[in-house]
Amino acid sequence: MVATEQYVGSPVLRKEDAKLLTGQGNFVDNQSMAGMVWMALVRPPHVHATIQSIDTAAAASMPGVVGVYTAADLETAFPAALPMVWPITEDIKIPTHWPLTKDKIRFAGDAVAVVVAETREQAEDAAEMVTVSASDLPAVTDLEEAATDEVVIHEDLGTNVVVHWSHGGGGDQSVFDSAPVIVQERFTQPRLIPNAIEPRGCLAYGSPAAGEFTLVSATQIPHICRVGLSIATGVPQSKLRIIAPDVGGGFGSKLNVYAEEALALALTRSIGRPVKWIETRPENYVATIHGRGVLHDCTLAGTEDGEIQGMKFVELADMGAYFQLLTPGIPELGGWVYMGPYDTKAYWYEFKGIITNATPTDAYRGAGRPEATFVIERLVDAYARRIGMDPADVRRKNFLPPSAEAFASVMGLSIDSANYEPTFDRALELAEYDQMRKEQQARRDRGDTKQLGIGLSSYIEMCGLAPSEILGALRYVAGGWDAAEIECRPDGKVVVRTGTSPHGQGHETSWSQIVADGLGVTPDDVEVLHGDTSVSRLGMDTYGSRSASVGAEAVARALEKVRAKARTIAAHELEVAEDDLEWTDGAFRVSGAPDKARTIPELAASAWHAHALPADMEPMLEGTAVWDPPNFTWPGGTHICVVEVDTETGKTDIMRYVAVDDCGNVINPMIVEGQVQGGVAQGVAEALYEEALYDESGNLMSSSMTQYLVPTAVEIPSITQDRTVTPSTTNSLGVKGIGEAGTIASPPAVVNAVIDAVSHLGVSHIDKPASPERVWRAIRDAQGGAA
Amino acid sequence: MTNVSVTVNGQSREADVEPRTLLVYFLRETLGLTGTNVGCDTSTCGSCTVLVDGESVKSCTMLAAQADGRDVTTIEAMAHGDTMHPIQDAFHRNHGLQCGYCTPGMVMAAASYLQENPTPTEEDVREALEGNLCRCTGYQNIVKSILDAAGSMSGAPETTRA
Amino acid sequence: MLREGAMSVDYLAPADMAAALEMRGAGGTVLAGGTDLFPQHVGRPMTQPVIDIGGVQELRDIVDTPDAYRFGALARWADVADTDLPSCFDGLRAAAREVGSVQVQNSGTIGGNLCNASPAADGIPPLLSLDASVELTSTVGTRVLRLDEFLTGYRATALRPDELLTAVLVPRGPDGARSSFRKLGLRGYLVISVVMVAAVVAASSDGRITDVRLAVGACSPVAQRLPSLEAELVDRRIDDFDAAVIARHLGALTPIDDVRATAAYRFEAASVLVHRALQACGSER
Repeated sequence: MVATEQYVGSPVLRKEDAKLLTGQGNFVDNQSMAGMVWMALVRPPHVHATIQSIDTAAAASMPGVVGVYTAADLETAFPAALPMVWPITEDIKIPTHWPLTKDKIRFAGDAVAVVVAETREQAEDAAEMVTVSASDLPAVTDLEEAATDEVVIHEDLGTNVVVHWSHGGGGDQSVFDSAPVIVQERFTQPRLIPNAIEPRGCLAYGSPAAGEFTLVSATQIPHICRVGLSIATGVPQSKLRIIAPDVGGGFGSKLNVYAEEALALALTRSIGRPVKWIETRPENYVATIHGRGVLHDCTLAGTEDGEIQGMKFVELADMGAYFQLLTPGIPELGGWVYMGPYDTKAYWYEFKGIITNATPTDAYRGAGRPEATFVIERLVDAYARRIGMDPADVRRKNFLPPSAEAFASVMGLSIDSANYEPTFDRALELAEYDQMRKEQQARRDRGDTKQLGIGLSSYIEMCGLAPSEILGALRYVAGGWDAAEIECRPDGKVVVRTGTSPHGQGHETSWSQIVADGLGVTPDDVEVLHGDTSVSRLGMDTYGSRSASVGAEAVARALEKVRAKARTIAAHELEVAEDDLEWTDGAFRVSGAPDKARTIPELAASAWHAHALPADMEPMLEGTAVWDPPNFTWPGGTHICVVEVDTETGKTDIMRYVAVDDCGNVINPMIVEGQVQGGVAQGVAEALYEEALYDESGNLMSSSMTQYLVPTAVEIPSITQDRTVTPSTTNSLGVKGIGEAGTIASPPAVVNAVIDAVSHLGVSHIDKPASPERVWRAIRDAQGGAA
Repeated sequence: MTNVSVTVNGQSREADVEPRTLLVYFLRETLGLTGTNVGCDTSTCGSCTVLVDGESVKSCTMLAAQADGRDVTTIEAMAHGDTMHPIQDAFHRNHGLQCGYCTPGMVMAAASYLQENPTPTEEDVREALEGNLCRCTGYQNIVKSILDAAGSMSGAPETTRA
Repeated sequence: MLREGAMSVDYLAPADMAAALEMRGAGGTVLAGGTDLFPQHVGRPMTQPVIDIGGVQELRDIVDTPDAYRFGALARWADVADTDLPSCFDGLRAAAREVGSVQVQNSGTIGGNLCNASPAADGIPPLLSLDASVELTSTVGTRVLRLDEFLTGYRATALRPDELLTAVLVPRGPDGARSSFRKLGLRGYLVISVVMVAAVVAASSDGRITDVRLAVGACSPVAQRLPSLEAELVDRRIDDFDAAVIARHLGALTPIDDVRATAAYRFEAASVLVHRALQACGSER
């Protein structure tokens, strides 16, 4: 069927939904194989301890146990440790991270042995029977304490301060001494637990005789896993296939190469049977990466009338006990956006990465940029309070000027395009900002128990990871390209293979829209395949809001190749010059004789039977593109939160939340809106509820979903959304990315609102999460101070 | 071993199970009904919600043996052939799911709730979903889907149609 | 999670009361709604037979008897919330809607909530404020204990190992009494509350309090009534007393510092919520 509808830009309903809605999702835990055995990890109840001995005999004799393995037993299974791919400085100290720890336990969750048994229950029961004799060492989970090196966690490194990265500064640094107004603030941001509702899990199988193995894993990054697991296990990349089936959420927590994946592969290789592992939720809380966990000392230099002259940030970042895939690079990802959307003259950012006795940190939705945006936007509000200006006026006064073209910024990289003020104005309008300020004043005048607060957050992102040349300069070991293949079948259907690996983002639908428009078919005619390294051979997967701006752009470029070939065949069959053909109404038509036409399905059939192709043309209508972006993409926007704070109990309720984002052109507005809604929810969670807390011995106190407060539908507000469109200049689609915007923008909007609600009572600072008690205490302390 | 006889999705199913087998594992492993997902180990997330005698229950808080003689409905029985249940259809039309992992539990919780309250307000729906966690959607389109489904199931004009 | 094979204890499903009491006499863990039992046993194998009393029909009913309202131990929170009861039960019904989530209310029972004896059980403060008693039955007989006698400490009760809690008895309260329930948690669902307050207030036609009962949960190992505050409030007008009076009568509370809140905050929040619970009883008149 020939379609003439324009699909890109329309809210096309998702192709992914039907199977997920009917219980036919193919999640890893739904898969099993004949002869399959189960794996369970032994994670002893120690936080920091020297291992004396591990007794596996009792476990080995338990019913159904196939084998119990310690690091010593797997010495030859792993030619290299687990990969960390971003050694961001020349002198970075890299902790060696084996799938099983050998000498020491360094965090609650560090596994010392693995049990393989016929059933999951047998494996878990036997894991309980492994006894570890270990002498406890003092544990340190506090960042500043760890930085003193009183307790060194990796003795071979000699220090916990394993990396110091400095941006090097931009602009005139003297403003930090000479500006009329200097605002200094310190902000702490707690550790967060990603909480994808599907825990991690994997299933490894293959043929030891052939040396070929497959790993089905709940991962965001099958292609990167193939490389990383090849390094760790020694299975050549040519003999290693990674499949990401339906994956139940990631948020960065599945953007990794994990010990359990390497273990499952190594064990299937040695046992010769399929090996399956499914994470339990308590295990997820200690063994899957955490996010955030940073401390910032911040300086803003400005004038008395609200002109921001300089912003300076010095950060300590909690790396956890080891590096995972990208750990030391996460703060640096924020390191390029510390000016926010503001036209500051001077820029400074540096951070130190600190090893602690806690779960490794890594990318959690936003990765570095939420940390940056939170402190920028808190700092701007503190500045506004200091000089007695409305925080909206301060922001408006300082936005970078609009530009449809890429332009250099004070932080050193080029921003693809910008137009922040219309976005800001629209957010103020939707929030009824002036009216809210009046309502706030009225409540203050009345001395109401429930006070109103209005919080602003204007943000800029760096996403679309990434130009490979810049990644190289930043010492990342891989490139940032992505790939797509398009194959037109003779029945008129189209197969697209994308290198991105969606896990909720709807790429099957969005990519279909692009291809449908380009080939004059419907999205239903297009099948998008992904998540299998043997199907989508080339790719760099899904994270960092990169999929549309890199992966979909690769689709668009492959599409151009297909269209070019199709045009050549059409001209040949219609016996006209290619220039005489026009693409109208879903077909190549002869100019002036529109009935003389060829559709893509017709041309696909011609190219398939290849009976009469132009001389020297290869059969099949297909095209492949590997696309390396010339720049990052730089979305931006303004979010506004209005809260009501109960001044007696400290409890906050969100009354209104407005999100106006500019992610450039949009492929599917329904999906874009959904991404923002979910991102905002995670940011609201970060602002008001979530915090991974450790006790003094280094045990995780927020150790299950009952203690760690993932919000419910009752806590999360419906939000009001709009967009402005400033196309990216980085790619032909003009798209910028939207997966992380909500999480980046919302925490400071909410916390600024909470502080704003009680600022007239003398409160100027409340840490995340702004729990009822924190708010109550801030009010009480401020009032006590005044008395 | 305990013998359990349960009507699951309209079919009588009988099996000998270990007494401590939870209903969710009976459904997933004994009967192969893997549409019901497991997301936590503390009866918090609600992914495993099914209907027992028409009411929503977390199938990880119930033994298979407790379901003996009762009627269990899982996500697999909600659609009839190619025709989705109005709640499923509403989730599709309102983008009420992203990764889809919590979705079966959400649909079952909604099905139970709309039986009890066919004309809920937004606040009602939000409270009814307290036992079901979603990490992708921010709940907004889930709530919208359920309100939409309530409208279409009660015969009122649908508020959203793509 | 409890999975097949990880435990090999017996599962017993008595069909009637006599069988249930017999089995309980022989020893076993009672399974009612299961909403607390299973999460509590994650990673901790059970060692005793499980006695599923769900099939004992006579424990399900809520009946209005001449002396008291009798809630069968297996009355589910959903049943409590949906039953037509006098206004003095409004607080209990509100608490019923706060217990866990809808799924928990569909399974969790009033008897299970009391036997579990969590310091933060939602049902306990309203039942204390209603002067409830519990009926405890064994093969050797039946006894009735006041709820405050039954609850002996942190997750501890006076239930003997051979007994079943068979009913909760609520005496008829003062005519026209109003009641309310206020809870402060950190998240709507499945949070062990920071503090919760139940109030039952009867007042004369001129608005003076004739009878008041207040109970506070989550601020002590066992939820507490506030007798000295109750005494202080009698004869005052419900809409006219100094909130500061409340703070002077919270001595019975012994809140702790934990991951959710500090003791100091719990005291303050208890005071605020007692005031609000009382106001609610007034405003709902």
